[in-house]
Amino acid sequence: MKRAFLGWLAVGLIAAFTSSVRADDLTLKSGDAAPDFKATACCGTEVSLETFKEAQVVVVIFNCNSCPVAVAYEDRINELAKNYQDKGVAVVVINNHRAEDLEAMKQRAEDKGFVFPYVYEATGDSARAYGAKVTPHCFVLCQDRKIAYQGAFDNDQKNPTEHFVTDAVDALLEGKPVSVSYKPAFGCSIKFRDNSK
Amino acid sequence: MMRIWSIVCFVVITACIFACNPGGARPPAATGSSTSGGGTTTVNRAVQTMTAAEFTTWLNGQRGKWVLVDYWATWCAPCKEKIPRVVELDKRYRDRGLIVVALSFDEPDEHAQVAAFLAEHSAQFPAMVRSEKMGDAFEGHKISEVPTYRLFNPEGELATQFVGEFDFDELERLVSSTLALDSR
Repeated sequence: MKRAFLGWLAVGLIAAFTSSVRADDLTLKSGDAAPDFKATACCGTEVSLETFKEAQVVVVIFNCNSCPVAVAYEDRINELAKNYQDKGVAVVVINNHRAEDLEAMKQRAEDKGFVFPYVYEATGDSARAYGAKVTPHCFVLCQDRKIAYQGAFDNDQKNPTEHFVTDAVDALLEGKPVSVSYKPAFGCSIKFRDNSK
Repeated sequence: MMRIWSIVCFVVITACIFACNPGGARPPAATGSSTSGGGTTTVNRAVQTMTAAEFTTWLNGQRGKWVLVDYWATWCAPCKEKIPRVVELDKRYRDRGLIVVALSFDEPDEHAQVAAFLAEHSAQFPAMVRSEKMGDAFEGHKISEVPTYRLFNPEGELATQFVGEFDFDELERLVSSTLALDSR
């Protein structure tokens, strides 16, 4: 009896100290309307979903300059943007990292020759609205701007064999259903300015 | 005589480790060593590569103990910063029923690098490296980022987890209180 009581006490203590986070707690489900966002591009202009109204498919990726996983994916994201820019696909990368700024982002975009808008949103509201928790975290939006795919860019930082984002984009361009609509994103936690939200 | 018994013990323990190994053939375990002061301190630090399913089997074998799993990587600065705290935690609570284990998300062929880093910090706890694709490993372990720390209860259930940015003192207080309550 005493043991059972102490066991429950331990459970209560754990609950009081911490909050559990499940990897599969999705803010948005497949088919949900993609939240709009307002972010600032490196040149100072404001960017939102409306900016990409001509695109058949929009790929929104939350990323940053400093996370090693995020950095490992920069070139792949840029390749995606290059390969699909003439096919009606827009790629936008949003940075919410509290310790980074437009100046550092502009430098990175120049150094790496980014062809996509690399935009900053200091509040982190956009990431929260999409349910992005890590960098990189990808969302593929179909023509009516509903979520068609969300999660990891592919299945490996070094030698990927499954290309979730590219496959989803291809499927949408061909008018086919997206076969994999969710794969857990992995990387570094987004360093929000205010973690209490 | 003592020497013979030592050899016998070593052979038996090694045989047990291989017999309990659920994954069959694997890359050879790595041994790390560190240099401190004037000499080299060799820490016998075998690091296995392991799938998430194999890790679950390993975890199931630890029933009856509280287990703290440190999901980390050598490319993750916050993970590396916390390793000395994890080493201290292991030293402090090992004899009070806590098993600490570090599971790295480095590349499978980087297990020697993982072993060397842990050896530098004189880590004595078991350590593994993922053997699957990174995405499959994160999905298999049901985590999305490193560092993640998970405390499993003696029934093998996830009791709680600490993810990303948090105060390590809080984790230590929780471990301390939980073990104190459980030992009564």
